[in-house]
Amino acid sequence: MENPGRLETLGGPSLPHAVAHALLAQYADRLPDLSGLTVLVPNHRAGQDFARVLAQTAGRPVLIPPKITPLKSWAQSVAVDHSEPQSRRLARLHGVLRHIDWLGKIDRWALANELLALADELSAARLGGEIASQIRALHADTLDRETALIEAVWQALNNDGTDPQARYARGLDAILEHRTSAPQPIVGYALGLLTAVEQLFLSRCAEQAPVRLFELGAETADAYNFTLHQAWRMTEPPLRERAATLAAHHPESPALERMTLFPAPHLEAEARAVATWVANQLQVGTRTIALIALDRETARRVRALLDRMDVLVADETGWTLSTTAVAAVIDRWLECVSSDFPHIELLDLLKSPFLLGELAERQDQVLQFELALRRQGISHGMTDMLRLAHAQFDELPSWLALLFGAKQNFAQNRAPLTIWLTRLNDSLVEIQAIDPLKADAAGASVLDTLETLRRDLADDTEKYSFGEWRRWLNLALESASFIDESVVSPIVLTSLPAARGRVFEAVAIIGADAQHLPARPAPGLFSQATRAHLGLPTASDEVDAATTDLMHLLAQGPALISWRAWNNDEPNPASPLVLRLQALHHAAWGSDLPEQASGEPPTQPSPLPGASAQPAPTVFAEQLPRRYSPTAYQTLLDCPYRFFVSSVLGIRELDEADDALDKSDYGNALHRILNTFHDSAPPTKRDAALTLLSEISIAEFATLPAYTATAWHIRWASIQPAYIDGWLDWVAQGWRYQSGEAAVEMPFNVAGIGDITLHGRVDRVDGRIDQNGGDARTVIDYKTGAAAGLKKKLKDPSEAVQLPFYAWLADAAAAYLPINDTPVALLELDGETDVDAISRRLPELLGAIAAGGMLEANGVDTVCQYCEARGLCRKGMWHE
Amino acid sequence: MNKPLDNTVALSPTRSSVVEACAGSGKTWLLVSRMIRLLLAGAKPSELLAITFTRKAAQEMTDRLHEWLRVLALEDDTTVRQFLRDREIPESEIDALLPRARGLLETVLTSQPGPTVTTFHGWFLDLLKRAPLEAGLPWGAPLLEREKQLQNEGRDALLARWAAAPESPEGAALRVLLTDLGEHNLRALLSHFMQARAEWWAYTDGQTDPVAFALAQLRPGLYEDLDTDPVAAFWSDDLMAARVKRVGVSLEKGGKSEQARAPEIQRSLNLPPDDAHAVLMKYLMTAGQRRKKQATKELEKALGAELDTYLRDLDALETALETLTAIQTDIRIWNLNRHGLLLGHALVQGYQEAKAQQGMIDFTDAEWLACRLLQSEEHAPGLALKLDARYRHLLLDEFQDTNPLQWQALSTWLMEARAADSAMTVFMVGDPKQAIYRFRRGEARVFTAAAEFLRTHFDAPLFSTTMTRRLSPAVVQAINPVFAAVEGFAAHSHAPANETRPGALRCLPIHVEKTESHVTFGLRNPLTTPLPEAEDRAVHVEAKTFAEVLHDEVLGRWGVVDKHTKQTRPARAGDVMALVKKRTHLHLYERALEAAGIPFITSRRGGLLHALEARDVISLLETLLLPHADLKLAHTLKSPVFACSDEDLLAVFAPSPAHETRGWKRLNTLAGQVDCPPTLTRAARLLNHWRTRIGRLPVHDLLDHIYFEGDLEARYAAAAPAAMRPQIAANLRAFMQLALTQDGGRYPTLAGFIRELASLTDDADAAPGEGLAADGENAVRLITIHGSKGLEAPIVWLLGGSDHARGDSYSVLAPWPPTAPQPEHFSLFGKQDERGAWREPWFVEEAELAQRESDNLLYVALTRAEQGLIVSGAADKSAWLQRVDVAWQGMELPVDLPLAASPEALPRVTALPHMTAPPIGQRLAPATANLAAASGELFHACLEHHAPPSATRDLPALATRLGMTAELNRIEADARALLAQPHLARFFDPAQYQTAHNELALLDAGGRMQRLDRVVEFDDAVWIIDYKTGDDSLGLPDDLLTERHRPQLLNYLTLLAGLYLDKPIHTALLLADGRLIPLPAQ
Ligand code: SF4
Repeated sequence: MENPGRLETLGGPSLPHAVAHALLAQYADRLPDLSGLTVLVPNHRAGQDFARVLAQTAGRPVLIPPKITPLKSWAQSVAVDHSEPQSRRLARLHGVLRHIDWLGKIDRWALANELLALADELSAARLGGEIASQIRALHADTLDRETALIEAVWQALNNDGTDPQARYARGLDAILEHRTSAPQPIVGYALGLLTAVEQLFLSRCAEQAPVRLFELGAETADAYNFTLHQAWRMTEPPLRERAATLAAHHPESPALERMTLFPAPHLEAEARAVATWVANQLQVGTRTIALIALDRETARRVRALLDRMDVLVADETGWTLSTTAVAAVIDRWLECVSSDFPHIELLDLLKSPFLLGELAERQDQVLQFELALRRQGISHGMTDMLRLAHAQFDELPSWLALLFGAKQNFAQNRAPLTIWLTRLNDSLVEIQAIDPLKADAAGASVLDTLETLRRDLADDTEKYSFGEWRRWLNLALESASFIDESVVSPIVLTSLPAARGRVFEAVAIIGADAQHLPARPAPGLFSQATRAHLGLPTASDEVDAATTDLMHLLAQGPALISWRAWNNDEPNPASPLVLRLQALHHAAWGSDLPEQASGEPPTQPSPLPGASAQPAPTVFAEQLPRRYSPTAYQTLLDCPYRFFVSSVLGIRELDEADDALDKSDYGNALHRILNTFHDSAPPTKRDAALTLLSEISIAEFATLPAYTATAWHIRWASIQPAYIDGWLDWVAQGWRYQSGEAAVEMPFNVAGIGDITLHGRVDRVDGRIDQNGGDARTVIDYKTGAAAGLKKKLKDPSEAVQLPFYAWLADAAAAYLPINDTPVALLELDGETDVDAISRRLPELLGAIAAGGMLEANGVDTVCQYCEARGLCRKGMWHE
Repeated sequence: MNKPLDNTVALSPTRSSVVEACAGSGKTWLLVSRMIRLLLAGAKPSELLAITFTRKAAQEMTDRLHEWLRVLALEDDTTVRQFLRDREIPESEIDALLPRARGLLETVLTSQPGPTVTTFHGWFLDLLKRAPLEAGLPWGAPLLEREKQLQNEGRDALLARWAAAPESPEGAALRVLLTDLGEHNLRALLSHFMQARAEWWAYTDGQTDPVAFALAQLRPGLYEDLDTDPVAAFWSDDLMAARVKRVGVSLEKGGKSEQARAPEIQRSLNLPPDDAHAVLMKYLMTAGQRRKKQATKELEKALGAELDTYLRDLDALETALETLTAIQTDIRIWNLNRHGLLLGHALVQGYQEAKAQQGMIDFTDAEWLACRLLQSEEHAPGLALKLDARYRHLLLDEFQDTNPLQWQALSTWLMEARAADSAMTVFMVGDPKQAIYRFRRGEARVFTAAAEFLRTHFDAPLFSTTMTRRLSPAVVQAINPVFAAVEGFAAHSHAPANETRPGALRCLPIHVEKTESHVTFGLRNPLTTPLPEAEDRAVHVEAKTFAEVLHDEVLGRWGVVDKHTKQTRPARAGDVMALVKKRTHLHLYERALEAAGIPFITSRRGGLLHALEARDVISLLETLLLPHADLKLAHTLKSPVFACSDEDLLAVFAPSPAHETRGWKRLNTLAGQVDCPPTLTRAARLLNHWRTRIGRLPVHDLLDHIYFEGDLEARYAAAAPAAMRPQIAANLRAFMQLALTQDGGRYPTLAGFIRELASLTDDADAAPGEGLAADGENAVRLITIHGSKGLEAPIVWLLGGSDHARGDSYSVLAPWPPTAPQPEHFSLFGKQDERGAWREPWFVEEAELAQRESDNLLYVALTRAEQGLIVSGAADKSAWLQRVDVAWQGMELPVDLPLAASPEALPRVTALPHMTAPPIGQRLAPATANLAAASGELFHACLEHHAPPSATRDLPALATRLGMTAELNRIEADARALLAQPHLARFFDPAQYQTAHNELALLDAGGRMQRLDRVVEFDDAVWIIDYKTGDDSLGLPDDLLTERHRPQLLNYLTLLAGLYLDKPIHTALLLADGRLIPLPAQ
């Protein structure tokens, strides 16, 4: 970098302290009034830190401080005009890109965003007008499209002086002008990469009065700094020679006491190590600590762990607005508006505390409504939901009325962005979201952002559809962030650039792997080489800057550098900086840097549970149900504990409203069809019967969604002739339909329990007068499963009890009728089966249970595999 | 023709070469050694591009490179010299290279960019990111991670749309296919088409109507006339009918069976054509074929001279029916393709549009677009300018799994690069025997084609190596005969260093007696007698054997060589890798391990999300959202989080006369009662507490509260058996991490998180794996063979179960010769027996490739084992098992590893200390907007703006921010009026004082910045004016105000005293109405 003023280096543990010393020494004669001086700092917080350091170093009761400011703010404070808001520029740019056809399907908003950033960079580098010719000079016509784009952007945005960089430049000019009358010295430090505009400004200042810029140097006096410098700033002479020299001067590693490393096997381990380190720092009285969040996930985890100890962390890194719970509310709301209340989004909304008044007051109703939605399988649609709500509640709950009303009022025709924002705002008012959102810090920030956008875009008249606008809104929420200022703490979570120039007592670098340190530049429109040619900052510049920032931080006090050495079973290489430091350290002192020890995070201790064991509860007779279906019986046979859950506790699974219609729905539909068919005294002529069956089927399927209707209809249509044939055969044998969907029951008295009812609902009962004039009946159970499985069941009726149980209840023969394949024929239960013994086993078992028999969890794997009660019996976690 | 590996050539930085390297021969060693040689020879780090198959392999390669560079930088000269010697650097050059070698670590670590070590996909994505305009992509288009989900959503939407429009071409096609194929097969067909979309694009590239194009290519291969109904044609041919009649009559005279068939055949003459045809196919032909025997002895005798006529008739009929069948097949093929391609193409387009909508791309897009980019004459030159690195040395690993499309792109690029730079080198390593990615379109033959290409254009010799460093001698000895018959397999040898390393081999065929289902003695009482576990299938027995052998014979007994210490120690669970071909039966093996108390990690679909502890936490979160869901609530209560007993559950759920409610409501009622069990009280308290956090806390933060306040980890440790604790802890951690990752996404909510988990559970590609237990990998790894690629273990168990390969049906045929620019054919096929004659050669070729791949899979599986190798499977069904069994017959291989001397003392897990720290920091109450304060602030700013020496403030902007735009004019007027009040003139009229400062900033000794509203300096005194411009001050009396503000004013006084040593200092408050209240001197 060209040296605008005088670039000096200072040693010592911290640059701000060194600068303060230098300043006070040079201007001792002015004390206590330093108001004429200007100290340029990298950011406001660094400015506050510097002021503190200055006062402490001066050791006076009071100082009139110099002007301490970041260069940007200084320029802003003197600028008179306004620059065009970014959102307006973005919209304008989009307006231009909208008409460039060769861009094809590229998302214009995303592209506009990217180009805007590049345009600002070019402007800051004082490039622009001549950019196209420069690129052409470099690469002939190979980057034609890029060049054309840049030119278009430049023309659209940056040539009327309203862009922020131009305004910045004017601000700087104004300062210069102002200064000519009374030039005063400028001191600056840790300013990072300076743009061409800034460099020019500083050089011109330097012509009028002294300008001194400071960077951290490698004063040999500070062994630690010197070591870092040797590791990160030098590659010559060879490592081993540098190490030897180091070791000769400092027989003990200066880093041993200051720095620990933690290559973590996984995220949690890293977070725990960092939290332990912070805890240790606090124990020894350290207060101001920087947590540099290179890896955001781990950093969040660290924050949560520290939170458990009431060690609060001020998070300066902020959240993208789109990741806040509040933005989720807006997103769900817009989804409800655009897609007519999909139940998932609707329920998300209803359970949010940010709208529709007090959450607690509607909570019970909402749960009720949700259960109803699930039971009815309503997946979206205001009409259906209204119907449901009316059936469910005496009057339409206000929360639903408000939502539905707001949706009705939400106009959806094409409109400019501001109008859309106004519509959004109006609807938020209607659903009573504004006040709760305002009360929430993130919510207020989202509303603010929207309000600012609305103002800034007031005179943008391009019209957009709902969809386009939402894409834009997503992008807007994506690019703004929210910083939670509700926590005040000397422990801050921040980024490397934001920590520049600041003063901390200790620092932890979280996520120091090759991915994050140095950060990899996202590929842009131009390659690094092209950028270098154009005079834009390159990746190498960024690496240098990051290294400088890191050294500043580490110079100040104890440090921890951690990273995930493993990530999802893959090795994850450490940052090159870490590798270099490790190598140098090893070469110099023959040892590695110490590793951070970890601790267990605190918890709120509870009385610990005993070892998990195979459950075998007993129940009192009163707790047993009074009615038993074949399913309950079968469950008891399969696994007594499962019976305990489903029959004794009476726990069932809930349906999901959006579950696709499945096999069992198909089965139910066929049951209904066949029931209707046989109930309607069908003709026994094949063709007529087939026609009737087909008509009934069509009517039944008609209510289904189009695809399901088609698919099921076609599937069932291929079975129908075979079904009729099978039935006619059966009729030919003399069988006649008696009843369908008939309930059968049998009262029973069980010792110790009393009266119970055994019951079932059989699909069909047919009867005939047999050869001997006797009255014969058969219960028929329709099945949509495979015949093979049914045959297997018939082989062991004492374990597959449904059919014998029906036979016993109805006092009839029994058969399965598989209707999923052709030909359609009955699978009959062996007439010799002792259905009486099988069925009476149930009351006997119940008696045994009432008498203290244990309901052990003893299902076999094939049963457990689909058992909904596994979470309750906890098979798999039992001690032997 | 392959030469034995010569490292002097293979590692030479100026030459290209190809190495066919067997399993365990040290490919990574070769590749990384070569990288070092290139760097030593002066290549810039950025000139290196290494491409391997998985991210993991790439990361490991980088790790190894760093490790070796560190050796070069740090070790003594002797070691470094030996290192270089080992890598074939001529003795004469070593000294000269030493300094460079020592500096390489820093050269590589500081280079910008460094060497590129990546996967094909990684490289493609990088290319696209740099050339989005050319590829027509959104900026930095993110990679779609959940392909399946989007595909399924799109498919369902399209199916619904087509079904609703039965008149549209798609609607009609849908009905036909549903009728012909059924729903299940149609879905299979569409999903196979989706998987083959890159082939489809390549095949129809440049065609305006791809479907028509593909059909036009297919049509000539089928029977000419597909419109006439062949059955009707057959029966309308009188000649044929006559033949049928004659044959029928003749058969009557034959043997018993012929006599039986005769009337059926004659009957056909009176049936409608389709029924008649069915009869002929049944009684004239058999199973669609002609009968082996044309006539029985009896018939021959009976027919005598008529036999010839009969035989001629019969043959004519048979031939006609065969042709008819072939035509029918072709008609089916044609219909399948006509309709299937139409729908498939529409489906893919729908999916492409959905992605475009979301601004995402998937892996297939990346590959397709990048390949097109590399091959594009228009864009390729510009691309070079966009890359930050100029690659001059290409290193290709695992090349056998490359697909033809990738090779197309790569070879084009290589030709260009070679033309531009003759010093370009290529180093390719691979092993066609380990090609196992056909299902991802990998094509082993590409390796051979590429080797040939490199020989021609890069003068690269082809080496091969068969010495394995991984396998012990016994394992090598056992493996050779298994593959001896495979074409191109050369016997392997072991590395000399392993000479004495023991090995153990077992082949365990599983036999099951086909017993009639267990004999029942009367009626079973389920309360006392559980059903016996099903052991009717081999896989059940196998699972049991698997766990038993590990438990009783292997773990803790077999001595294995430790990777790090090189010492023999007893085998641990982590030393065992169990491999399956498919995931079908994984759950059975898991159950068996669970039952035996052996910890394991599984790659079952959604491994993590199936784990009981993960299900517990999900259940808990669902309960928070919907506490009325009884099953979830009960599950949550019984999980170790609350560890409620079954009695507790009865109290909450069982019918009870004392309670009208049940479930959640009753739980809350009970919790309010004194005699409530403490477990339930705790559950109710915590659940209610966490419920208040939903919607306000991000999911991760909520979970952290749950882990923390629920004491989760300790409770699970207490409840679970010791062997399972590490895995459970790891899974709980992994779950937390999942929440963190999810929170980073857009618009997170708890319900959204749970939905995401639910859909992840079923998505095999995206489901999160289980957490890795902290103490390394001390759990049996239960994984697929594909997942074991690149891994090794002391003990490998290949589980066969009764998995056997079934040929595909309802899928895509798209043969793509390795060097062709696109597939040479593309069509759909249905059932196995409906493939038609024309396509047969391709099917045969596919079958051969599939067989090859099966061999390769077995090879990969067996060569993972360092010392112990066990193969099990159904004795009668598992082809692999049979093959291994036969190969090992009579070999007398050792069946056990030598017993380890002493059982290993388990390392005591010392409990870590709990972290503790003094509390620090505070939470501020949210600032409440206050109208009075706002107007005060604005008033204050107006004063600052107008009082000389005025400091310009952007008043309108401030007013907007404060929401006081309407009031600004009034307030500003008030402020000016105030300034003009006569009694204040001495403070505001410059003529009346020496100097004045607005907002004078002072630094106190503690470094705090203090701002004094106005300081006015007179000849004889200094005044500090403190504005109290809020309306709230107006009504208060003087003394109250001075009292309230005295400390602040005194503080100002002290500060100014440090500046004005010789003048008295006064302070006063100034109110908005002009009231001036001086602070009485003390
Ligand atoms: S999982 Fe198995 S043992 Fe547990 S309740 Fe269900 S069936 Fe019974």
